Amino acid sequence: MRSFHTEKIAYRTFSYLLLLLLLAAINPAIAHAQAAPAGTASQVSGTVQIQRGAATIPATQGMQIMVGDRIITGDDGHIVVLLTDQSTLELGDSANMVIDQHAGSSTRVNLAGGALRSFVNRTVGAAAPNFEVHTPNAVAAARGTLFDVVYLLGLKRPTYGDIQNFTDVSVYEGLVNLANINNPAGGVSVPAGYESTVAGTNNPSGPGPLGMTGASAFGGPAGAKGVAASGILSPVSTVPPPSCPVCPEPPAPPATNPGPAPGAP
Amino acid sequence: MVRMHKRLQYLACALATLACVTLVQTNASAAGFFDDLYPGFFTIQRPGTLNLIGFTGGYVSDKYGTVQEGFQFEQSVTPYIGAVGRITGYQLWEGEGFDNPLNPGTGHEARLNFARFQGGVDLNLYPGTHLFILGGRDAGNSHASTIEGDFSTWLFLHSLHPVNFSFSSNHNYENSVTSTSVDLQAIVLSTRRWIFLAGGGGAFYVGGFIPDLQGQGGPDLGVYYRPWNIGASAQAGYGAAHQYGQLSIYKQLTFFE
Repeated sequence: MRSFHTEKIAYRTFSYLLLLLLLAAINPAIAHAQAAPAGTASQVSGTVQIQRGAATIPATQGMQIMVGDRIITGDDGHIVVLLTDQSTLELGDSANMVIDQHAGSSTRVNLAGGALRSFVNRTVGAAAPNFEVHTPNAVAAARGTLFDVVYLLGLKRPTYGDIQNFTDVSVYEGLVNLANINNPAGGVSVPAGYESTVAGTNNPSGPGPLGMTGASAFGGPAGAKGVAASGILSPVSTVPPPSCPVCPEPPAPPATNPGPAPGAP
Repeated sequence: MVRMHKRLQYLACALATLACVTLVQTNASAAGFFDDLYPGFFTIQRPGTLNLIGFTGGYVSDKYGTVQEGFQFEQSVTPYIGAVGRITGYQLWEGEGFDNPLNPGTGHEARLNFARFQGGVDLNLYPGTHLFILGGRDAGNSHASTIEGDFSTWLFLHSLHPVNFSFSSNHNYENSVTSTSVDLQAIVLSTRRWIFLAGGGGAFYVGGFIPDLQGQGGPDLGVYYRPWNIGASAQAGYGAAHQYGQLSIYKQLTFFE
């Protein structure tokens, strides 16, 4: 009799659990009810969608963004997420990003495609924030405050052979350590005013001045010709004209008269 | 004798086969090299870019002075080839004792005004390397036909201090003078907003009424302000026209199409 009662309780518990699981599957919001808030969407324009579990929600200004949310922007999409530590993530068009982790001053973002501009808030006196942007082939760890990460797939670049995936990092303030995701020890420090690229499985290139190495940055169309590389010291001729640009070539001196030929009259 | 002849035939066949294989491999590696250096060579650049550069500057020396101003447009066609057009206005004062191009009151003998219209191609030979080839004609006090080559390349781009080498040569078919400038500058510092450059350069002239090679040279300094896409370069030195100073300012606008 007692055994029958225990079996009944176990059966009921199992049924409740099954029902809960079923409900969670039907409504993913319940499954993510425990996800921590990462911040809010402070600016939204164009097509921006949030994937939360199995649900896809259109992003709206002021909506809460949770840890684990995948943010996808369309061709005209743009979103700025104000994180709870007052850092910002600005995602450009045709981009795809997940906020993997955000707790205190520790943040990890996974950029699967497109351009992301990160402003890392550094509170005076507080410990340096641990802010990382991961792409499929690179990790950018911020020691600075403002930098862009662009991940491009399916694009070839001169001198890179058949490589078709690139992570470009442009640093505007502070310092960013960039490494290949498979070789974190082989990273380079990119100072403010410089940019670097992780091409495929290569280690990052040496940092070069912003806008000059062919790297893409936030707001610039992917694959566009290196604008600054041609613009800075663009080959506009600066040679001054000679002292007299209209002076004609002096006439050739008259040929010396050879005199009468021998024997001539 | 017949056996030897057959051997020679075999040898010739083997060599021909080897040559064919080598040729095919060379072509394949050349094609690979070409694809590596110029991926998408025959594709139209999308999005296209139109660069519009406004520039002005001046040159002053003990013997003469010039002021020039103009526009240059660069329209991309493929990622490696573009079209270039340039219009430059020149004002020139000449004469011993020339002192001020903005107040040519004393010491000068004549003032010349002419415009130079040029058009041609922009060849993006390598990342950071451009060659402009321009043909053109002057109007105003000069009616010369000109041909010009402008070469600019960035070396050590993936470093903190890349170096730019530029070379510009213009031949004037009216007076047969070839004017050439050469410049070598390194980026001293790059920040979020500024680029500072330092180096040296000069110009030399030959042909026509200039019997022997004449030239001038000196150190130069450059600065570029990224937010406004404005740059300036100044040079001072000594040469055939004695002491001289030179300043150029340029502003770039880029439109993505």
